[in-house]
Amino acid sequence: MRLNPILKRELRVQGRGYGLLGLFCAVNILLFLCGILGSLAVVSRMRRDFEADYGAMLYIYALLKLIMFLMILIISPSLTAGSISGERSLKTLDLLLTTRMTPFSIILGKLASAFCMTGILIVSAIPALTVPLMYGGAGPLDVAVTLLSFLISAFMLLSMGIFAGSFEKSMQKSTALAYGMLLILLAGTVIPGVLTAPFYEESMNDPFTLLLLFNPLVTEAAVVTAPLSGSQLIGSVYERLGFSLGNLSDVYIPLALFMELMMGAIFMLLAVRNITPAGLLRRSEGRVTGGEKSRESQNGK
Amino acid sequence: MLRLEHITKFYGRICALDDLSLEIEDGALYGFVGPNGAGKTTALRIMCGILRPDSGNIIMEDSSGASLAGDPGSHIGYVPDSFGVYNNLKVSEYMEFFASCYGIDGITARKRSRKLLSFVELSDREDFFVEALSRGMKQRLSLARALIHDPEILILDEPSSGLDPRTRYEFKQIISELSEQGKTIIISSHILSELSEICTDVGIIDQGSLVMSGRLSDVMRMVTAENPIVISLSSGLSRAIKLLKEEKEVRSMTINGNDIMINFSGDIHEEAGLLKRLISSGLEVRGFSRQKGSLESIFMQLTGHGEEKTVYSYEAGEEGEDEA
Repeated sequence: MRLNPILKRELRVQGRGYGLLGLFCAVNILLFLCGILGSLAVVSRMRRDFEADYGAMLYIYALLKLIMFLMILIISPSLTAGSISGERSLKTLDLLLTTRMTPFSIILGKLASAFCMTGILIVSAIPALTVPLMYGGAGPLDVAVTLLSFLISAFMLLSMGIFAGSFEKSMQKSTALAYGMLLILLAGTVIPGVLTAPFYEESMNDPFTLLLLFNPLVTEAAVVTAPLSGSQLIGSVYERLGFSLGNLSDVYIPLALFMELMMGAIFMLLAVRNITPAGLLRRSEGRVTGGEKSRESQNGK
Repeated sequence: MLRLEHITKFYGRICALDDLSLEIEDGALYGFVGPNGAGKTTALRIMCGILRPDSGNIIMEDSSGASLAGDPGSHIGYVPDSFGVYNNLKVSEYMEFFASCYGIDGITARKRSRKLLSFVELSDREDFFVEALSRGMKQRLSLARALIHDPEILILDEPSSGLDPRTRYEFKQIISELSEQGKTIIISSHILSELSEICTDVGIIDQGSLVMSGRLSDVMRMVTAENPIVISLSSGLSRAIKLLKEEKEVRSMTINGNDIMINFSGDIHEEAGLLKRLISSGLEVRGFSRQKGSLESIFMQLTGHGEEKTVYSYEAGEEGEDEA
């Protein structure tokens, strides 16, 4: 199979620097420290109280997953926000578009390289994440679901970064836009529901309740707390916000992850659309045809 | 052949290209000339397929008149005014990356890359990072990159801007060599003297419209035909003036020392006849030639920046010499 040229180039360039290695080390050291210190605290309490509280280990495990997710949340948009705007500022995007590479394969190459990096970061964190599981409490299935949710969230966040980058020429502006979009996604999906909840007797009737399905932090909270209390904990999160999960509670996690996947795909397609020179849409053999806009229609605007 | 048919492009309400139509023959070295903001880069970007025209067509045909097969981009190599290089890649990696973007991989890509780097005299820099190259080297690398898929048409947007005279000369040599190899080259530049040295065809664009296009020699001849004839005499100035006044094709005269500059409306045979009459009347004619036109003068005339040419003039039918 032929590797996407952009993916190949990005992996080669990223492999040269020490930046990513440093990032991987920092993330893993932080997780290991939190995991080991938390586990030691629980064990020392066990020794002191002569009471084995294995449930506490699960809370540490949940905390580590949350820390890991927050890092993905913070790092991911920056990995891709500058990728297209960087090509624009280097004036290489035009050159790529004159080659046989389609806008889709350009975006795919960029996304795949960033996804590889994030994927490696997530997989490298498995040992650190599972330190508190030495006493059991969560099985491989839970670890797999957690990893899957991390990867899906990373895909969505990376796509969002690429989408932001496809708008702006400057890397600083595109990074700011990506984080602005993230803020809107985190806060904008909660605030409308909180404001309108008092006006609905049954919070499930409040259409804004469903907005939370698009909130990656709430989705991850559901995933993280699942081994502790099933859907109860995320249900209580909802209740605190004035909502009720209702019948959604059983399918909440798969539904929310599916929504994230869809959002990621939409961001990606919008980015493809943003970098597509419209001429490519009408290219046929040996011919490029323009639109139908005439001088008269332009002047008549 | 590359043919642009009625291309119109607006940026908002600003018309960048206004019903632009032109034909560029196979193997031509086409100089695309115009003032800043005339629409050159827009036209070139439309030719490359990076920009979509609001209306009109771009047609690429082979010598038999059949449309070129495949994506139009695969027939065009584009060198933008900026270099478009990745500083964090090595020269060979940069070439091979673009080769793979055209679907050329492995040994074929390496061989082609080496051949082109040798052609642009960058073989010894193959393992250097692009960052370490000089401006001229980056420009040559950009040219080699544009040739990696062996395109029939090469489009160069202001390739000489910012280069020193020696690098410009070397670059010009490479362009000429490519033209000799049969590539169709479209080159936009502000350095008109260089274009006039290498181009076979020229198109002058102003305010989004093509004001003149054709073989450079034809354009030059046409402009030269409008230029005055300079007659240099050893003596007999007044006799020559008297004789020239009687010539009906002489529209005006300018005298500068022993040189007479005349605006002559006749063709080359009438020019020869005039020279013959001057000599047979006993005048010592040291020189008789039409002032040559340059691409700069054509450009200035056609884009509305005409030069003041005459200091002293003599209008036909008037007596004596007048100051303009």
